[in-house]
Amino acid sequence: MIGNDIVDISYAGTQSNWKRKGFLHKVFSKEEQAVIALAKNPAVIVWRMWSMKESGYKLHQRKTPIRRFNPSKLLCNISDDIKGTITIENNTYLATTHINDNRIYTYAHTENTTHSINSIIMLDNTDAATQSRICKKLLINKIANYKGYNKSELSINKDDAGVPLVYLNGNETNIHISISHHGRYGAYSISM
Amino acid sequence: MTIPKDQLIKELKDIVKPYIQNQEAYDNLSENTDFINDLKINSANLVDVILDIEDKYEIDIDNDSMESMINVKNSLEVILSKIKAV
Repeated sequence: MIGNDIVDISYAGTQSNWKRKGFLHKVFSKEEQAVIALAKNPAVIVWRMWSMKESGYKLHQRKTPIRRFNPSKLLCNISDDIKGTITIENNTYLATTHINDNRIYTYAHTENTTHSINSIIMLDNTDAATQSRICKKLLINKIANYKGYNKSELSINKDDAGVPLVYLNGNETNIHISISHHGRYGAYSISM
Repeated sequence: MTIPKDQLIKELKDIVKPYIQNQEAYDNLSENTDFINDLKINSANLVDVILDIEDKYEIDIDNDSMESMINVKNSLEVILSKIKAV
């Protein structure tokens, strides 16, 4: 099982003010707020843990398909510059985060997820629907190439809990995917 | 204090306006509108929506109550219950 999330750092800076009164309390646990308070570059830690929570939530949705909004319940533990864990309701997931000056990408997975493909995409258009369409198209091309399917045989549909499922000729497959887009970036993750 | 539901929906519509990414869904906003699936509000901005609601109605929304506020209907319920509790 997998989940992913991408944050465009400069876009996040214009769209969201994490310094706003009450914001951190709504999103982070007391321990996480302490980590942020001590950080040399708090903005990067805020958005890193945010992307960990988002990717962990998407993964957890596959297990517990109830939609809800409570990021403070997903607890982040940062091990080093890349690795960390996300814990929710006695489930602990592994998180791998790649940060550069422009974006933060996190990929969450369970311990038994062995093979996965992650791709980050630069997007010109910031329209959410267009971004989603571009990411899905590239994702389908990737699966088709990898598995030797014809891309017209593949489709992606979300279930009631918002989990994207991959269909081959209308039949659900066991290919797990996660899609994220934000600002000038899109990303997908595939496990098959 | 009680606020008629129609008025509350109208006020909520004003609150979410800066964060929406789907104008058509916004124009047709109803009780059944979902903030994320329909209005395409990104989840960081959903925090702003909750904070704006707290500011507007001078209520405190704890994180457990916030959990359900992913659509208009549930948000109305939370707002009304918090206003009544004051």
